[in-house]
Amino acid sequence: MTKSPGHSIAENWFKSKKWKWAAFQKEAAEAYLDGKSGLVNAPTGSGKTYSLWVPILIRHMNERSNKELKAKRGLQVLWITPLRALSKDLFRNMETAALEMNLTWRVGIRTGDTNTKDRSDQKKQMPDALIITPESLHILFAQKNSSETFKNLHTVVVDEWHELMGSKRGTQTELALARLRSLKPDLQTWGISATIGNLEEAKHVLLGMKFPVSKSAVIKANTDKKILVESIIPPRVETLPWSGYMGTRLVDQVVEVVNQSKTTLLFTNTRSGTEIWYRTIIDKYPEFAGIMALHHASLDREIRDWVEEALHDERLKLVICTASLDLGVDFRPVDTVIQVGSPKSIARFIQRAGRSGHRPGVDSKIYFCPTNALELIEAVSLREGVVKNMLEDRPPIAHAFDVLAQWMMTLAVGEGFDEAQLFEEVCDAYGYQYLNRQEWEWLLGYITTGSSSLQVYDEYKKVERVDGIYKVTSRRVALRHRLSMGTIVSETGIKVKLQSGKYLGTVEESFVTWMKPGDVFTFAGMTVEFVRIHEMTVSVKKAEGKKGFLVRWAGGRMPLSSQLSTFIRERLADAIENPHKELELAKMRPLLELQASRSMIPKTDQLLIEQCETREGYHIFIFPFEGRLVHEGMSIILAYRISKLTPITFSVAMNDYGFELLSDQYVDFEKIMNEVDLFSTKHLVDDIYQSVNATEMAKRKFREIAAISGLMFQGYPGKNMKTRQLQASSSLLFTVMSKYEDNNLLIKQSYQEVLTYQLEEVRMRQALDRIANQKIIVKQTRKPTPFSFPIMVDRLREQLTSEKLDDRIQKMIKQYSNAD
Amino acid sequence: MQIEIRGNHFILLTQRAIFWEETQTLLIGDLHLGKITHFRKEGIAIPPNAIDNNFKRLNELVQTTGATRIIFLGDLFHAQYNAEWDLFKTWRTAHHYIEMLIVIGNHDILPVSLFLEADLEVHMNDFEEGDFLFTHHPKVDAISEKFIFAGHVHPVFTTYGKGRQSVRLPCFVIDNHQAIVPSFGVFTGGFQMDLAKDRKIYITTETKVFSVC
Repeated sequence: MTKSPGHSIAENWFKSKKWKWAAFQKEAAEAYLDGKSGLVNAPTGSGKTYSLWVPILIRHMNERSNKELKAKRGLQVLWITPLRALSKDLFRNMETAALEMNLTWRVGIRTGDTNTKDRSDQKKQMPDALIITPESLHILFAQKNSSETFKNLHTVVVDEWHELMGSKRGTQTELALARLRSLKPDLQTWGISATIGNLEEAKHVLLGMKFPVSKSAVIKANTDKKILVESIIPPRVETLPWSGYMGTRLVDQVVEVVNQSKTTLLFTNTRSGTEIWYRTIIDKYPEFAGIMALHHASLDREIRDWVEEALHDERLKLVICTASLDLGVDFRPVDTVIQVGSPKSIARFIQRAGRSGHRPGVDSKIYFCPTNALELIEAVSLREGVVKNMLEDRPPIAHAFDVLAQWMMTLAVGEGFDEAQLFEEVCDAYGYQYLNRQEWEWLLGYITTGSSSLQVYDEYKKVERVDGIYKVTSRRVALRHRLSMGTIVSETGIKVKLQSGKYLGTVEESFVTWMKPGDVFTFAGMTVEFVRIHEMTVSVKKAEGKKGFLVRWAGGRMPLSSQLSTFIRERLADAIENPHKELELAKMRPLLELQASRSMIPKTDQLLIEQCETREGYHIFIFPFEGRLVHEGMSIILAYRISKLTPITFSVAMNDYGFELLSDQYVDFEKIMNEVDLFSTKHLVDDIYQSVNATEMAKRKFREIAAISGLMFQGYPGKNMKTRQLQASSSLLFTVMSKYEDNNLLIKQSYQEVLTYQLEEVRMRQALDRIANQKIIVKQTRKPTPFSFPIMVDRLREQLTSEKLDDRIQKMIKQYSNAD
Repeated sequence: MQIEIRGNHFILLTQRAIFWEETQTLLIGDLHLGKITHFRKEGIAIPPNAIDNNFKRLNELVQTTGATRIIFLGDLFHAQYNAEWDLFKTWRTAHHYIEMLIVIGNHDILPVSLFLEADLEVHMNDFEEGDFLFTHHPKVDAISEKFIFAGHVHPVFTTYGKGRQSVRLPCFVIDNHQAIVPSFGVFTGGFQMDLAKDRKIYITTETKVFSVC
């Protein structure tokens, strides 16, 4: 690289900081200054911010010294971050670097937390670089002067792109980028991503369909950091239950690990999990009071900020957290990470391991704390995955009509849009590359006439077409849209407040409805007593020393990733023959022997099916080891295909290892398999759609879609009453819309989401193909086995039926009266 | 399904209404007409043809029962005046030979004059006839000697069977002093009811009514 003036200044800056300008940072700088766009693949704590911020400053310095290219003022750089919490740290780093290079560049922050004064200041004069969330970026587009705002923009950086990409916030970002590229054709776009399986695709999604490959690059940081995986193993494996997902029986061993470390992060998979662990530790080890904290998404922002700061300042020894601390700034004091229960994916496990040992040359160490006996097999599988560095893909979202409908509204609220031009622009976004005119026209109809037809004239009011431009003229409609923008849809949260006035966080409405004054529950690590509920706020007072209910939050359970499940199948098949290869396997031996004696342990070319009868009815257990989502899909297919032969109702349950079909009738499985190919991939999608469950699942997916596409209005802040006449549940909307409108795209989208994300259709096809080459072994067992027991006790159940509704009810009523 | 209350005979209908044989009267609760249009006016795109279904089912009921009178148990109209009210008036005129009464519900915020204009007999609180009392809100304490018919709740019930099955359906709730009818409207939700002492619950599919207990 020839040394430009800016380049020399940057070099001196690195020297003055006694930092090495790392190879990947130099490479990124070269590509950026060459006018390229692309992706920087680097882990947290590696100086990824400077890999792009420094060259941006070099460019600025060079343009300033070059009189012909007089540097322009106003917004030039957008730095998109998924987390508000990251923005402050980013701001510090970016501003300091600019100051130390003697630049009078203004860096600003724009997130949901930005106050009104800063907002209006920004409206008058934008800073040169703005750190922003995808949501706030969309809000800039809902302003009347948006194209003016972006007039001098030349660079967009998207931080943690791997995290955004697989979500609807990623789709939001894609749409905004497509618009920015159309406003500024020379725009340079860069993403920063942790390692994922599909980096090239991630770059493609970021840059859009029309971007020339020759002008793009993927730059990888060379990290040879080792990750050590150690299981926390009880002295006797019997200590571990057959099923369960809390793992608190190992509290003594966990505390031992914590005591040996400086600062520990303990990850659980659920928010309730953090509360249980906190309670368990404080009960048994009261000395942890004051040096242990909780961190999860339902805690009040202020509490979380405090915890993060205390972590920085080395005031905490242990933080019990959920995915809420997966991302974010480095907590340098952290030297130990403990994962409780299956992390479900190798990439997530590595990400969490990476939260410790940030100092160069120090290995990351992560402890795995199993919550049930079978999970020990995951420990060895995870270790193998880490060694082989088999990382999962982050598939991007496609065809999110809800996000697109919201975007069209946003632009209509802002400067308005020309539909032909916007159509072309949207098709440049990776997630909408296959969008067709017919779908586009439906969406136009949806926002203008409220129906698939553009010619309905009733009182529907939203977007109007004025002189060929689609825009919103009503201030009320505009206000309502601005208030309901975004793609993160939460349960109706009820705030929890101490009587002293301090907010603790939120719980779900369903949790509060059955609470009475005097009831005690555990929240934010405290035991509190319910005092009263008023206007969506629960007042509580401290009730130390009492035992209370546990707060539960609804939340999707993550499925086991395909990569991890492959390892599990292999390790399991191998476990009986080579029990001494690893400590975990030796420990598991008694359990595996019991499984082998009551039933069997399948080899990789076998599919195990167990049948048994209990008081509850007739159970069929099938063990493909493919993760709960694929099992959900398979259970639907199988139940449907069996029920086509004879009227029958199943209730189904599943976990990551297998699934259960439970019925009140005996099914001769071997006989049926001789008649039909239950595991065939033929008519797969049809069979799924035919089953009753597809509708139920789509209905649940529709909740989010309805909120994003503007069908559910949450109400004006502080004015809940005004919108009472406008309340309708999403399931009611779903029922009415699917019954009375053909080809409603939002309904279609909810089915598509079921197929793609809920049932992982692609992966299910692969699994069915694999099963087609496996030998199916049916075992009749007298007792539940170590494999089947955890599924059997799962209370979350789905139903499938081919019996006539009237017949089923007759039967139920009869069974009911017999029970009396 | 026919039940007997205080010596009178009532048919529980799958269209989610009750027919009182002795007086040839239909009891209909919670139509929530106007709700769809109200939502549409606010920019929420409920398919407009769902509106027709309410009237289709009303016609069906009138034809199959041959009723000479209808008592609407409140929440006939969901919102402020909108075009759906005119549809109702047209329907009303086509059935001018049927006597119609309304007891006002919490959602009925239309001016009373509009109801009167549509030839409805309006009762602001309760309407009493013989041993029976018709009202919108169910009464918690049965202060009156009379048997009460009410709406408002939109009751649904979930039945369970072996193999951990369950089905959730609209229901009629019949207690010693009171009967609650399911909501009639297409665009209405449901509230889960529980079994109780001296309570009978009748669930209904689109084809049949079942006694649960």
